[in-house]
Order: sequence, then structure tokens, then C-alpha cells
Amino acid sequence: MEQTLFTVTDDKGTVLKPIDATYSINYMYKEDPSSTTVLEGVISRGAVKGEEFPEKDPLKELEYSEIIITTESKPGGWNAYSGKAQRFLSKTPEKGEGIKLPFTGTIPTKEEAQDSMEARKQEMIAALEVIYPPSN
Amino acid sequence: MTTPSSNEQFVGVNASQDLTERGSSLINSKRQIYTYTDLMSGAAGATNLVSGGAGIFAGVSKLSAAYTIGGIEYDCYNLKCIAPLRPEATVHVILIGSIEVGAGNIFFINNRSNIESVDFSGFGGYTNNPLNLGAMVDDSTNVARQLNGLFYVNQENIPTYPVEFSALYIIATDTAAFECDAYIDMDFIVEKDTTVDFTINP
Repeated sequence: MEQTLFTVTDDKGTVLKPIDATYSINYMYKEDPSSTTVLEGVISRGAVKGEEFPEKDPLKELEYSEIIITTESKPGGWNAYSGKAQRFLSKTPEKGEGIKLPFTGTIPTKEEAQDSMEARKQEMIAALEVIYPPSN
Repeated sequence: MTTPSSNEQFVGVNASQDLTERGSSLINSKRQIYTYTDLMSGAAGATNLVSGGAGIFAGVSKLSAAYTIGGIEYDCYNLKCIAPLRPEATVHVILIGSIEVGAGNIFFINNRSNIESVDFSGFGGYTNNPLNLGAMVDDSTNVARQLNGLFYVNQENIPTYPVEFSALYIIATDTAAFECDAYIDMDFIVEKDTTVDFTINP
């Protein structure tokens, strides 16, 4: 049965549902010079679901595993949180892990917030008027 | 339904001794006693709406209800906003304002919003429909008609601002210009005991 493998949250533990981000899960073995990517994909609505984290190679000694979150920074995107790599020494990640992304955005003043919301309103009007042009 | 003439009809039990309620571990002294007036009278939630920009009035207030969902406790708040969607246009985007909480997300759990339009030259009077696709709107003909575009309240995280900051807009569109009045009445939950700061669009 599919469960939440890990969530992506802010530093207070709030799940970041609109986040545009990808993940990769790597296992680093002591015998190998480079890590092996065992799982990767897109983070949907602040969570990655699956049945289990991949098993480690039983014939090798795990030095560490890591979950790497890469946030996308793009024009018009949320762009409020940066990516992060979380490392687990000598073990694979445990189900239900919350990866806390650092906040790198802006704490707005009232005036900045007002300006941003007004700008967003104008963006929405412009986009909607393409579909619903003003009538004469 | 006939309204009792006094406020003396209690819903609940005024116990003289603590009795355990059947099928429950609660005892009477732990029960909240409500009067009939408490239950049946007046509006719930925000009743003090202040004026903002673009002719809107809005307010937020805490409700007495609390929720426990999956072991997490939440407080409940009510948002009300009265907004004229005019002059006539094919696209209306009304900025209500922002809600900033101390921690966590806000989740809207109830929407009782109403759309009122003029139908003086149609069947007469005013039309009142839930705010949704297909709500009735009017125009200079004073005949109400069904909207064929969008009608919803948008809650959005603004780029680069923290997750605790939500902007709120009324969005309505139609292929022909229209106008109406929107009466927003929505409940939302937030993490228990966190702060809630509503700022109306000035």
C-alpha cells in the first residue's frame, strides 16, 4: 500500500504544497567512489508517496543515504524556499521523514504585501482577458 | 417554526449532580449549556466589517468551534466580505486582502457565499445564488442571467512570501460584460493557538 515516504515542509513543519521541486534519493556505499541514485522524481503537493524506500545492497556497507530536494526558481514561481540535501548516516531514510526547506524569500512589509497583491491582481486580469476579452 | 417567547428554553441539562452521560465519559458538569437564543439567533462569525478599497467591506473573527483532525487541533475562523463587482466587465478580480498566520496553512472548510443580482426587468426583484459557476449576474438590461465563465474565491501564496501568507481574491468572468454583488461568508481552520492577522485591501 502506498504511503508517504517523506514530506517537504517549511522550518515549522508546514507542508509546502505548491512547491515546484524535484527529488533524488542517493545511497553512498563505502566500497564505491560515487553515490548511486535509487529513486528520483517530482514532488507533488509537498509529498512523495511510495511503498518503501529502496533496500540497500546487502553485500555492501552503507556509508550514508541522502534525500536531495532541488527547488525550481522560475519567473512567476513561488521562489520562497531553497533546496536542501538531508543525509542519514549508515542507514536508509525512514518513512514519514519531513525535509525542512530553508526560507529564502521575503518577509513583506504591509506596503510591499499590498503592492505585490495588486501586481498579482493585474497579472490575473491580463491573463483572464485573453480568454474573456472586454466587450465593446 | 415557532420561536419561543423567552430565552428560558435551555438545550442541555442543568444538573444538580454529576451524572455520566450514557455512551460517553462526559459528566453533566463538563457540558456547555446553550440557550435557544444562542443557537437560533444572529449571524455566526465576523459581524464587524470594515471598509476597504474598491467599495468592499470585510472582517475576520474567531468561531467557538474547534476541530481535531488526525490528532492535530485547529481553531476555526470566519471571513466575511461584501464586494460590488462593477462597473460591468467580462473579468472581475477583486482583492479582498491577506490573511497571515503565525504558523501553518489555512484551510477553507465552508463556503456559504451568495451572489445577488438585479432582475427588475426580468421576473422582478433580485436573484440570489451560491457563488459558483453558473451563478446569476446582471447587466444594464436589468435582466439577470446565468454566468458562463468562472466564479470563485482564490486563496494564493504570493511569490517569495512565506507559506503563512495568503492573498484572497474574488474572481469572476463571463463572455459578456456583467455586474453583481458578492457576499462572501467562508470558514477556515488554522493550527490551534496560532495568530491570525487579516489585512483588508485598503
